[in-house]
Amino acid sequence: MIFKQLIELVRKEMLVLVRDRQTILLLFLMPVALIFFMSLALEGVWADKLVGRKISMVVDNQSRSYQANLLAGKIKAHALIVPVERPAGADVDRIFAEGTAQAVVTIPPGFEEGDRPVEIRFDPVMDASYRIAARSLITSLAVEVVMGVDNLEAVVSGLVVEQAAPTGSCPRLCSRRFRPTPFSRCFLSPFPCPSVS
Amino acid sequence: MNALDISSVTFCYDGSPAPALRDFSMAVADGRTHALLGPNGAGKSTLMRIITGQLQGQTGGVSVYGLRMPDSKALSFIGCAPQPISLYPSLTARENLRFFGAMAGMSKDQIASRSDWALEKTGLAESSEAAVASFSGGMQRRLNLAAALLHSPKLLLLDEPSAGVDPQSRNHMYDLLMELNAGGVTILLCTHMMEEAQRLCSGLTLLDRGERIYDGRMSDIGNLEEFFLKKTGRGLRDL
Repeated sequence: MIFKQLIELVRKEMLVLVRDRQTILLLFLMPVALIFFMSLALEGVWADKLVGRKISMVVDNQSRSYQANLLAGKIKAHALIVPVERPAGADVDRIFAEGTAQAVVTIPPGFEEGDRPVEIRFDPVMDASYRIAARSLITSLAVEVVMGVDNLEAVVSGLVVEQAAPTGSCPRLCSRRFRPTPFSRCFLSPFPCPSVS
Repeated sequence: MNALDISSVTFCYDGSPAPALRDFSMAVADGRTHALLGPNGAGKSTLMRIITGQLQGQTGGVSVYGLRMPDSKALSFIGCAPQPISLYPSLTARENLRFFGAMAGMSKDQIASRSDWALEKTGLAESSEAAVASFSGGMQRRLNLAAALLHSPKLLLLDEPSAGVDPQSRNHMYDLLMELNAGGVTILLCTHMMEEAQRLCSGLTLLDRGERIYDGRMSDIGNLEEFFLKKTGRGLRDL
């Protein structure tokens, strides 16, 4: 097909399209509908991780020891946790079935002696990565209590520090900040930056 | 020279137990108007599609003005008005003709002048800027014919051109076809209307179940409908 015919074909298709209001409507509505429904389907997948949505949690302190009370208090006071009271007579399955809470933490008798671990149960529909995050949080709080540390995060952050690569200014054309490594190149030139060599 | 030569064409659709055309031959002399008649499912439309190259894979040969198909030059000699209305309803009559003219490789000036001529001849000059969707069945049929005439074909293939058309449009179309034939255009007319075939055509080929059952002059036949029923039978042809 020669170019002129192709142009004429495109022109005809555009005319047909422009005059068919239903098709135009569908062309614009379908992607909008797709985005809308996909956003509903994927709701929370990213929000959980990026925004930090809170977890509703029942804390069942069966130990009532000093350390158990301390741990229960830390969990309930944490910014990412919404403490929920267990409804009278409700077992774990019913709590999840009724949507009362997303997780149940049980501090069993003997926790303070190290005989039994803290137990966590999650709502089965909860996102797996979210479970890991919640489990890490409870673990770190338990470590704080067992080790007698007030703020484990502050202690750990002092042990390992991420060191940023040294930066400098490109002396040539771009005058941007750059990281001088043997492979550094000027932003505006394909050659290695002279400040490196 | 014959405008159209079909020799021993056999064609079978995929999955079909019987061939749609079986060892079919016919010829249409240059400048003649020839009728191709047959009951539903006889193979008329299949033959039309083979002539225009829309269907391929047949045995035998098809030649248009001595050029064996498929041939791009031979195709440029053919104007085809298929049975289904082959127009874009949302475009105007002139826009439709412009598109078909461009696809036939005509220049802008040629398209403009031939469109004026074809619209005038088919009685659609006043409706040229109206959308085809607003046209009556007769107007759409006439525009379908106008599109086939746009590139000045030497051989015109018409597949039931007057189906669903009122007597006024039909007679207008007959006059136009006779005028075209007088001007040297060869016409192969596929129709179920016996009076139409008898009025317009000098030659006749009868086709049934993919086979030629009669080929001769129209003037040799008295009552065409009686002749047709005698040759093809009175039984219903439900496919």
